[in-house]
Amino acid sequence: MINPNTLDHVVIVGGGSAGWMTAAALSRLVGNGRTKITLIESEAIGIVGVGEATIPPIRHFNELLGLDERDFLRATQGTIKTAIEFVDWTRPGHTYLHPFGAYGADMNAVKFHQYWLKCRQLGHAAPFGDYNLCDVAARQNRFGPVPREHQTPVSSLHWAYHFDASLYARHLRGYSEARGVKRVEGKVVDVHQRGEDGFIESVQMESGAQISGDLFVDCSGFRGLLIEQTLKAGFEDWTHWLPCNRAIAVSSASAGELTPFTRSTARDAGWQWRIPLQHRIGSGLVYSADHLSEDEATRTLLNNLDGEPLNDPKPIRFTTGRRKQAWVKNCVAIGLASGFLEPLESTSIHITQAGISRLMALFPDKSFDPAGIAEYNRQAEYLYRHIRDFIVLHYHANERFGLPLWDHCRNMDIPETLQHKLELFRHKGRLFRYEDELFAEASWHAVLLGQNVMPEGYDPLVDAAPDDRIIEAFDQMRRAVAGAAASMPKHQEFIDRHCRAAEPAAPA
Amino acid sequence: MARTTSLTSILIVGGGPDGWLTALALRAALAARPDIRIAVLKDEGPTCVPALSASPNLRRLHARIGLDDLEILISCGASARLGRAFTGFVADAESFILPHGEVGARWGAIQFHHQLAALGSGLADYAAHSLAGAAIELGRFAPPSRDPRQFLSTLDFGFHLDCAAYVRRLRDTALARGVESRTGRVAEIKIEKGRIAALVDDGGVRHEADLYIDATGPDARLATSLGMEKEDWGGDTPFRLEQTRTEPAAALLPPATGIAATPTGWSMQIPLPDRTITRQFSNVDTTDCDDTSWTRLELGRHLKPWTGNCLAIGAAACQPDPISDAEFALLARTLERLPGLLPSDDAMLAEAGSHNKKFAQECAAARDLARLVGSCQTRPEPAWVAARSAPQSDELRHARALFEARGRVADREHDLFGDTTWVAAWLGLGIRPRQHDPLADTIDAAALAARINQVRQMADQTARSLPDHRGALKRLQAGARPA
Repeated sequence: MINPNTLDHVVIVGGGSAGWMTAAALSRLVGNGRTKITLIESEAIGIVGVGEATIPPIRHFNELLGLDERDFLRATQGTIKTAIEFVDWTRPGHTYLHPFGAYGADMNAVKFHQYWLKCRQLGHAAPFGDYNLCDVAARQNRFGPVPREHQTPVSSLHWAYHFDASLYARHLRGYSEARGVKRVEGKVVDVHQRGEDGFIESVQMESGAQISGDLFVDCSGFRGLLIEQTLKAGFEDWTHWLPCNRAIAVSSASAGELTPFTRSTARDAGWQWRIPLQHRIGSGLVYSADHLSEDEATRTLLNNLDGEPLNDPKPIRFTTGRRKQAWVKNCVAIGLASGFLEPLESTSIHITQAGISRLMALFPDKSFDPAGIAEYNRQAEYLYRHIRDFIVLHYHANERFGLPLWDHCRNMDIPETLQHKLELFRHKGRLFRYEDELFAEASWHAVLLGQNVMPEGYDPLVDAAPDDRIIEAFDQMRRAVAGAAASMPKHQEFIDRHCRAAEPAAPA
Repeated sequence: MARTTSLTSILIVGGGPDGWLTALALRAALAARPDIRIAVLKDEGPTCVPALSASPNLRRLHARIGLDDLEILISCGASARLGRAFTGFVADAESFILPHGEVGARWGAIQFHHQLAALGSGLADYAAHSLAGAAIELGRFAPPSRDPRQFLSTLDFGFHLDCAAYVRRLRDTALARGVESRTGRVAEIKIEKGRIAALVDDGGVRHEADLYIDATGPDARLATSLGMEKEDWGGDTPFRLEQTRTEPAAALLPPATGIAATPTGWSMQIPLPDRTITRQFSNVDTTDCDDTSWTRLELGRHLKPWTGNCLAIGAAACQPDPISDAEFALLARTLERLPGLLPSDDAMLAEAGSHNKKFAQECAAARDLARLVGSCQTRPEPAWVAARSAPQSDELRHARALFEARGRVADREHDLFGDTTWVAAWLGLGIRPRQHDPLADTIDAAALAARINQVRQMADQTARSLPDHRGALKRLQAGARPA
């Protein structure tokens, strides 16, 4: 029995990864025989993504669509990612990894990291990362399934991907069109609202054509063509916590061994990303325009590439923060139109994907009930705030003295939610975490300990186990992790064997 | 190596179920630290109601502590609880059940009630698509199977317990595991700088500890003496007077707690094998309070149940409307969290803040579930009309609007209940979503109807294959163990 109020037409404004991810997921709805989906994009409008790094939930999204992992990697010049390497963040010369997956194993219902804190005091702890398989394997550039004889409780593997976002969008375009999504080429030049309630009625194309719909998904990027320019959703500016507001991106030739991790290197007025794809490396510098000129930024970036630049550096402007309401009337903003957080923890695609899942779960009918819209906006706000806090932590816990941006971040007032987390952790290494937070405890531990936020003590229950037993258990875990890592093939070997992409045409 | 902790002793004040469960939970968490003393001042504490109706959260707690549920079921004058059966709350609906365990089955990402909504029928019988619902209708019971391939594994249960027998059982176990039992009641509480310095009992003995647990029930003796601020929930419901009566057991032992609304209040029927205990809740404004058989409920919660070196738990921390069924859920959450927060210095500020924050949200969920029932029932009597219009939180208002609009359960941080409970409650009280998950419309209608029918038949047939409740308890007593 189909609800008579079922939407007839969903219009997605904007292609790119956000637009095509939305189209692909919503194309499942077309099965009801009623709802049509149209995506409007213009070849003339560039998309931001060059190399994109992701986090493990991307695999759920691909599974939901039924994408084959190897086809997908082949189609997107994709590689595997098991960690992010943070270079010079804590202080110049210091490096740590934020790997996926857990560290060690909990014992006697006490968290692993609590034992580690004690072992460290005893002088018997190896570096924290030595107890995480993704960390150890990433440092050796290895990736692949762990053979049975090396499988132990500490050998579970977690991964995400690096891929070319425009190729991913193209891949999903094929998927969506095969499932009935109609693509319209052209630019939107005007938006028409209904007189009585301000709902969007139609968009007008440069060609003069009008496209009307029941639901409009704004995937137009930063500017928020519908959500902001038309519906004035408002923007919550977080620049006082995250002062970077510019980026400059470039692709360069690959050099050296293929790494299975994203690298983030702190620079004087920002940080630089490095995302290894099969055919090249995507790089970029995120910086604060108050502290660095575009020319200096470009120079810094070009001076720090692995290989020859393959295109002209592309400048990007942004304001960190979130759209106060990601869903207004009959318009939902997905992706950059819903807000911006710098890609320090590779969350851009995730924010897009979470917006899509939320839209699917709260999919409206023509009545556009305010309760569903309120729930959507509430959940969107949670997610943005959680990720924001995690990113602010990276900037705040620094020992990069004498650099204005970093001095500011070290001394600024941080969000109260983060302040509370830091106090609890500094005290005895404990975490206050909501159950549905995106980043698990292990991720917080990685960054907190990585950036030298050392608890003053540890959980008193740790003392229950005799020191020699803990030391022995730690030794076993470390060896199990090392053994499992050594048994994996090199990342390059894995790619060559399973999902080697065709040589690309000359990059645009 | 010096210990980093100054924690050497914990004193639990109160010898009710709350106090002993806390002692056992702490002893289990501190199994390898016998040097930390755990003592219970047992004569203080809530007057034990004759019978407890406990949600499956208590099983989670038992598992943590290392208590065998089935053994408790046969040794504490107990019976099984597969859910709660509500009557008299909605005018045109006979009754409804809030079942334990799973209801129906998902279809991909599509929740079961959305499948029913897409089919266009069956929402009123939501619980009948669960094994617990079917077994309650038929008066049957068997312990859940551990084999996930068996339909019987979808079942979950709570308890009806003879309170005195259960407390004896907890106490004996605690003593055997090294918990110290102290006699006496609190005569004096010595407070210094907002912290408890010592307690003096009625025999003049002084008790000192690093951490004090207030398990004194609604009196919250320690919390009160520390001046903990309370949030009063008295305005939520007029039914705040309680009276208990005992009746002979029915021949057929129901495997559910009965929740019945009457013109003057509501009652909770707790069926024990040998007698039925009824807790009657009446209107505080119209009932003759001079009659001493009535107890007045002081509904509400402490804003900071962990203050200084004192942690209030159970009814000392929060007394929710009993219709919310939140008592053991709140206790279980507190005791699951406590071992991870054992204090390691005198200030305990960070630990206390962390607990208080989460506990506040859990209490809010308990309060909202009670208000859900109060605000959705349709009885015409003035007291019920008043209950309907009593204030409700923005969160509950939003949750109702969302369920009515889309059939979705609003996300809440630190929710105390599962989605199934919220869904069964909304549906049972006659709230119907106007719209369902559009993905459910992509399923072939005939296939959907066939599958839903199959789920319902499976629930019914499996329930029919189970022994009656009394018979099941006898089998357990005779030593039968579940598959």
